[in-house]
Amino acid sequence: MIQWEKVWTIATKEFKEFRRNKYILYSIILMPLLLATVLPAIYVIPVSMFAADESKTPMDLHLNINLNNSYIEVREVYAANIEFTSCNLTNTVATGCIFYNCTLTNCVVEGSQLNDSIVLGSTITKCNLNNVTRINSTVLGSVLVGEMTTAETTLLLLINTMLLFFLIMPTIVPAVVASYTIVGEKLNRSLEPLLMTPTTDLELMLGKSTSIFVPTVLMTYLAFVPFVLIVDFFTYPVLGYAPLPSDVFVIAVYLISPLTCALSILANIIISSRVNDVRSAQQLGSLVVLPMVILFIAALAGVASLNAWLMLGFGGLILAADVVMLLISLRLFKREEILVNWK
Amino acid sequence: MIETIGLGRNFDGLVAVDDLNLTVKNGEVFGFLGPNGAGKTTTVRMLCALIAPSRGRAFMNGIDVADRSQQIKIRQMVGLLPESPGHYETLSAYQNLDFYAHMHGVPEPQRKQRIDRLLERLDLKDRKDDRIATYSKGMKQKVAIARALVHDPEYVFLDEPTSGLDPVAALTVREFISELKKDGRTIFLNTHHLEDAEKLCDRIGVMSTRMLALGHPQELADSFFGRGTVVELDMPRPDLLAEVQAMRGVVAVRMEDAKFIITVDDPVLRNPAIVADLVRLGAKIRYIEPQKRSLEDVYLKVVGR
Ligand SMILES: Nc1ncnc2c1ncn2[C@@H]1O[C@H](COP(=O)(O)OP(=O)(O)O)[C@@H](O)[C@H]1O
Ligand SMILES: [Mg+2]
Repeated sequence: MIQWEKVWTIATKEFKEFRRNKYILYSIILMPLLLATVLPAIYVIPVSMFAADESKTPMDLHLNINLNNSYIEVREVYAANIEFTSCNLTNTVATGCIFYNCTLTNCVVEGSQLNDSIVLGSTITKCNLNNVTRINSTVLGSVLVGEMTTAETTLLLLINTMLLFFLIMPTIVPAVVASYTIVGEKLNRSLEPLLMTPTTDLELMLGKSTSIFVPTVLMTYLAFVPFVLIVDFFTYPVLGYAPLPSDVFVIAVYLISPLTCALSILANIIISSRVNDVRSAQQLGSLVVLPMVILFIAALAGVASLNAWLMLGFGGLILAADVVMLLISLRLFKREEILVNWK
Repeated sequence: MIETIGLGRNFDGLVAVDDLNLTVKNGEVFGFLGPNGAGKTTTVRMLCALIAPSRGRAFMNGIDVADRSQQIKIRQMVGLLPESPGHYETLSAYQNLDFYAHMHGVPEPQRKQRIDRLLERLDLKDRKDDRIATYSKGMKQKVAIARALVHDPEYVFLDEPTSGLDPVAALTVREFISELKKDGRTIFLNTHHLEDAEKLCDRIGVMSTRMLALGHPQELADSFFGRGTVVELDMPRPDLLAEVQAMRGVVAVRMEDAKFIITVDDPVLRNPAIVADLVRLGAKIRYIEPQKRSLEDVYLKVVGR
């Protein structure tokens, strides 16, 4: 049976102390808000401002087809005004043609329509390309129908990368706060009288953890609002839609960030039991972020796009880590341990 | 009642406390003396159910301190002043005490009353809303004592309450402890300040890992040094030494200037005859008084080597 009013009494006492510590106030309130506004501003705004106005409407090519070819090999010819379906073309020059489902190798193509095809080592000028895979090829003055522009892909990648912030923030803030409230109390010996109160070890640990968890998670949730507004405001003109809040972000911010926050708090309790100054506690505590960043970057690099399932899997992984850390910290946050072995 | 039976505690092979047998009655002020590292703090922590005994048992009002399910009960009847005050320095004295009263579940009207009364008694009322960080060492110590009392505990453990304080602060703390004694609380005082122990305590125990001596301060002195009578004459009379030595009941005699310091097996029974004999032998007696052996003498004899 946990006496929650004891847990809350400890937490509110901590809040009173936070109000008197400008480092804690800074890291809990200012840092998240600042980063949530500054980060999108420096990453998203320049890209959106300077995004070239790449047209996506197909050009009118004035095609005048007078021959249809299917399933043939074409080599070293000059082709004009021909429709090719499922053909292989090599070392060929083509103008005013239509290609469906073809493979073009070392060709020069001008003023043509290419659909569902592959081009290798070729030069494409003034064409409409619709679902064309390009390998070692040059595309000039053409329209990539239905394809994202460089600006669009860059923006989406940037937005996804900034997701990291919502994982890192709830990890770093507890490291700073815990260094003061746990290591600081240990050095000040104010843990000992607390141990004399009629509470269980678990209630003491929950009280300390709640005082860090609640403001950190609240501020993360809150910081998401200006972040979404800024990102949407500046990317809407380029993308033509508001990219946030996406399901990936909602899962990350509202589900995963509390889990990473808990992970960080637990890790910092473990660190606090072994470290004897505030600064090294902060430095060690911030390292908790590393495995998370590595995992996340691996996901970004390895998988084409972040999707909800991937995020849920990621959340599951962190939840598992939370459970392990909880078991370890429960062993360490005991009166006997604190008095005898916390050096 | 505090009761320990063969209580002991090790720290990785190091024996900090061993074979401690002790009973402290309710309302008694017990002084626990011993050099640094004697195991005083360790004993108190075991009695407060903060750390577990390695051997033996200890009971507070009959509750076994090792019984985890009863620990909350023990904490409610025990107040502890630890070696360092350990306040929340950015909060005020009132906020600190209010927090602890909350944690002990002291209900609202009583909480404020009790805190105010404690602050008043400890002369802290004017500064109660200032941050503790601005307090002197003595004031911090007083707040720590108030914290130990905020839930009105039956047992108060004071771990070296006057150490590191200036003489004035030490005096206020000492006066407050004697007031606590009047409240009828049981007080367990860890100290190596012998004067404190002598003035405040009904009974003392001298320990160094094990209990070396236990009893009322004067009883201890008597048992260690015998009970002496000091007879001061008008002038030194070394010629009488052998005759005094030969008197009935005299265990030892020694001269210091014009004084005979006579150790007697039973002063009350023997002294009249000894005095009469001295007068008969022509000694001119100025004063007769019982010999005072200070606790310091006892302590040095028990602990020192
Ligand atoms: N947490 C601990 N770990 C290891 N040894 C300890 C610990 N606490 C106390 N000791 C040892 O136990 C002995 C008794 O210490 P303590 O009870 O603090 O003595 P006192 O309070 O009488 O000065 C000392 O030798 C001390 O070094
Ligand atoms: Mg001690």
